[in-house]
Parts: sequence; structure tokens; C-alpha cells
Amino acid sequence: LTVSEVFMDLPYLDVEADSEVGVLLLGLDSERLLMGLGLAVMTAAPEDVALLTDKLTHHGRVTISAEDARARGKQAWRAAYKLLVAAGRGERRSGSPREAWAGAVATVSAVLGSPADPASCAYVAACWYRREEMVRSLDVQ
Amino acid sequence: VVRFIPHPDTLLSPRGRSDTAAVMATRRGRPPAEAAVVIVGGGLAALSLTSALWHHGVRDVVCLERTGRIGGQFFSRVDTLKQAVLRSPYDHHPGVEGFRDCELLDFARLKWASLTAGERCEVRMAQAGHRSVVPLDIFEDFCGHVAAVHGVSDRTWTATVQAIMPERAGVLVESDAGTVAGRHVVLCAGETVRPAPSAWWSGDTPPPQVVYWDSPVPPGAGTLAVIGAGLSAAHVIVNALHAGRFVRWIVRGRERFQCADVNASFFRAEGRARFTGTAWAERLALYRSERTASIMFEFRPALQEAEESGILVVSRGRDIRRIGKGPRDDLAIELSDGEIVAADAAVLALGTVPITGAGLLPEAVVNLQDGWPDLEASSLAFRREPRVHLVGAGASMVLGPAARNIDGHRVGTARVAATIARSLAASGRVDDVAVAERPRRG
Repeated sequence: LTVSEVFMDLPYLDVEADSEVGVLLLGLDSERLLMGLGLAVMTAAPEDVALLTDKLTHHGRVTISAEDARARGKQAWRAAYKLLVAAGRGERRSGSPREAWAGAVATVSAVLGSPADPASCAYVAACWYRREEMVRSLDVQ
Repeated sequence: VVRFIPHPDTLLSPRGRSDTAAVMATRRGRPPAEAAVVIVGGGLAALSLTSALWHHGVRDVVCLERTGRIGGQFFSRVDTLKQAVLRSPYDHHPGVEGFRDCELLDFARLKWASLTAGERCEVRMAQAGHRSVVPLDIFEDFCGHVAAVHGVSDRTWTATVQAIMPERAGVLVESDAGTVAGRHVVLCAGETVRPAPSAWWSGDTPPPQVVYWDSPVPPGAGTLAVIGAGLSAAHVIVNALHAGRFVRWIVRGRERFQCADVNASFFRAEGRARFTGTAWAERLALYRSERTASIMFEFRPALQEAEESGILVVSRGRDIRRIGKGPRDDLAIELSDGEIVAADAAVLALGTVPITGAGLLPEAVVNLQDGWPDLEASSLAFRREPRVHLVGAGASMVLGPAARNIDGHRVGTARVAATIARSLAASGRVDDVAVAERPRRG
């Protein structure tokens, strides 16, 4: 057996952190997305919001309660959804999570403008990509 | 045939250690006199167990940890070895499965901006189901997150446990900080450093220039002898070479390079079944054959290069006969073939010994058989005292060699936590079960 310089050809090593974190957000359940959106205005970085949401789901409170975070998230998502639907934009659906993420972010940025806090943009983009499910979550919660 | 060998750079991580002192610090003072569950040891197994109990709604937990820091022994050991990455892959981590907690792989992806290209490569390897290594600061940060979300440091006191005494009303855990009576006690005490045979030197203690692998190398040792064939030995050797020392490596068998320290199949259910479904003698033989010292592949190029250049001299296949004083007040290490190896200091890296409960629990409870405690498989409780459980390497005759690994801890804690939660609920101590949470799927 000899040491070789064989490297596996692994994809997406140079993607931006925003994209890597965004793809992860696409897979969160609706409850965490809404609470994360509710927390997003408090913490600029979406990755920090994801960890804060993890703490919130365990403790029921971080600086605000889980109920407050959920309510704020629903309010923010309802407002963003109306604007996004009214704009009539629909991005191409893709089987590639990274393409899907880029499309959702592009739509949200085009309609809502570049937000002051990237975390809100990221969480709205994740909600928008999962909009069928996320609209149902507004109805049932 | 071209075989994939991980690049030596995977052993590196540029960021050093994380600062988790605040969330990993244990409480000072006297622990409560009673608790539903007392955990002996506050390492990574205890971190997993406390988290699992939390999800079962068992929050009345007192954990006793001697170092003053959750995972104190583990992080102290990797610090001494200057270890920058863990060879436990991403899916082996403290915490729980099935409750949608943030897991280590996703945690690392959340830290994507800080990862090097090589570390990102390891993340992708893990996502593709391949073996990978984890940067230590990411792992430590993750441990801090797990501890914080499950309130582990609030439940952990600084204490050295001296005895565990089962009584009718409860199990008394005696420590230097006070006695705690638990309805259940879980031994999560890990492993101790394997001592060298006392016949290696005259008297009870080794010569002062001889240390074990978890202690710093004596300063000023120009020539260092390293005795052992495992990962700790490899770290000590590479560190010594980096420090400009000449190294004499004494391998009593022959060095073996591989990805993990045990066959990867033992981390899976079918691997563990080889232990639970077989006769005792077969399990003993299987353990002896699979649990042998090995070194990560990534060390091989550096060790080969050092040996070729002469700054590392390896003595293979020879045992130690004696370690004594040399002619220049140095060490003279006599090998089994009579060769004398001279060194200024020696590091003994002979592995670890599982803590079985012997010396803490009554002998009749531990009921050692061939050195292993008598445990019931589904609960990891001592057969003769079902209120006392064991998680960690001591459960190797139940879970196989993976029991000593972080992933084995998680398998063990899942069994123990479920057993304890059922027992507390059945005994009507519903106050111990704050919220009956069930694993959520999806």
C-alpha cells in the first residue's frame, strides 16, 4: 500500500456560507422556520439564528418566548408572502438545493429589496421556497 | 490498485481551540442531597446521557465531575496530545438522536465561513456517507451548544466520587463534595490510563523521566523514547519531531494504520449484534481481535519520512524487559532481545483501561467476569443492582468495542435514559418526568 495523492472530487466546496446555511434552512420544519424568522431581527447572521432557535425550542425562551417568536415570525411571513405573491414572480424550481436556494433568495431580494438583516432575508427565502407548506402553517397555527 | 488514503493535512486545523469555559464550567459547592438520577463522571457520555434524560423529561439530575469542567478529562487529554481533529466522524457526537436537535454535521455547516477548504472537504465526505474527521474547535463548540440547550452545567457539580453504595431507599453516591442519594445512578466514568507492568522498573513508581501519554513530555529531552502503537503514541512522536527531538519508537507488536480504531461495522446495529447475540467466549475473542491499537492513516507519511531520514528509529516486535538508569543519568530501556535503547525521557502510550465500577461499587454488584462487569443488555444496568447503570467502555461486552466511542455512548445512553424514564414513571414519581416528550420523526 502506498500513499497516493488521490482526492475525491467533492462538489460545492467553494460555495459561500450564505448558500451552505441557506440550503440547511430549506430543510428545517415549519415551526423552526417561523420561530427563526421571528428571531431574525434580533440576530443578523442566519447561522446564529438557527442555533438560537435550537435553544428556544429547548428552553421555551431566549430573550423572547417561543410564542412571541412564533407570532413575530408569522406576522413577518404573512407580510412578505403577500408582497411576493403580488409581485407575481416565480423562480424555476430546481432539484438542486443550491440552485433552489439561489432562486428563492433572488426572488425575495428583487421583491422586498436587500434587507438590512441578512437573517430575515434568508428565513423569508426559505419560507418562500417552501411556500405551500408555510402558507398552511399560517392557517393552522 | 489505487486506494484512497486521506491527506495528512486532514490532521490540521488552523483555529486551535474554542472558548467554551462559561457553558462547560461545573458548579462548586455541595450538590443536592437527593436526585432522581446521579451521574458519576461529567464527560462526553454524561453530556449525552443528561441530554437524553432531558428529552425524556427527567430533569432532576445531579452529575458529579471531578475536573471542574464538562468533558474536562477528554479535552485535557487532546490538549496534551496537541490534537487538532478527532477521528470520530461527524455522525459520532455527543447529544441525542430522534429529537431533531441540531447535530454535529449541521453545526459544522453553520460554521461554514470559518472552515478551511480541507475541512469543507471533510464535511462533504461526511454528507456522502464517507469517513471523515472533525476539527476540534467545531466539536468543542458543539459540545458547548449541547450542554447549553440541555442545561447540563446547571446540573453538574465539581466532585470526586469515592464510593457508590446501594441501599434500600436509594443508591448513595459518596464524594468529596458530599453524598447524593439517587433513585438511579449511572456510571459514566470513562477510562483510565493503562499502567505499565511494574516489572519494567524496580520499586513502585517509574523513573522520574518516564511519563504516561496524558502528561506533558519532560522538558529538555533531546532523545525521547515512545512506547506504544496507538494514536496517542503517534501524536507524541509527531509532536516530539516537530520540537526537534530525536525519537526512539518502541512498538511491541507492529504498527497498524487504519481509519478508525475499531472495525467500522461495530458502530452499526449489525456490528453490535455480533456481541449481543453470541456466547461470552466468542465475545471475548472478538473483542481481543478487533480492539487493537492503530494509528490514523494520515500519520503514515510523516512517520515514514522521519524514519527514512533517521530522526525516528523504530524498534518493532520486541517487548520491554526493563527501564532503568542509564550511564549518563538518562534512561536505559532494555528490550526483549537484549538491545539497550538510550533516551533522555520516555512516554508510555499503552492505551486505556475501562472503568467497570470495581473499587466504587461493592464487588458483588460488579461481579466481574474476565475483567468485565455483569450488565443486562437492554438497560446496561448491573444485573445484581438494576438501579445502577454503566455507559462507556465498561459496556464493551454488551455493545462491542464501539462502547468506548462517542457513538457507542449515544447507543448506551439511549438505552439507559429510556429505562430510567420508564422506571420513574412506573414508580409514580411523575415529578421526575417534567414533560413526557417522545422522539419526533422527520
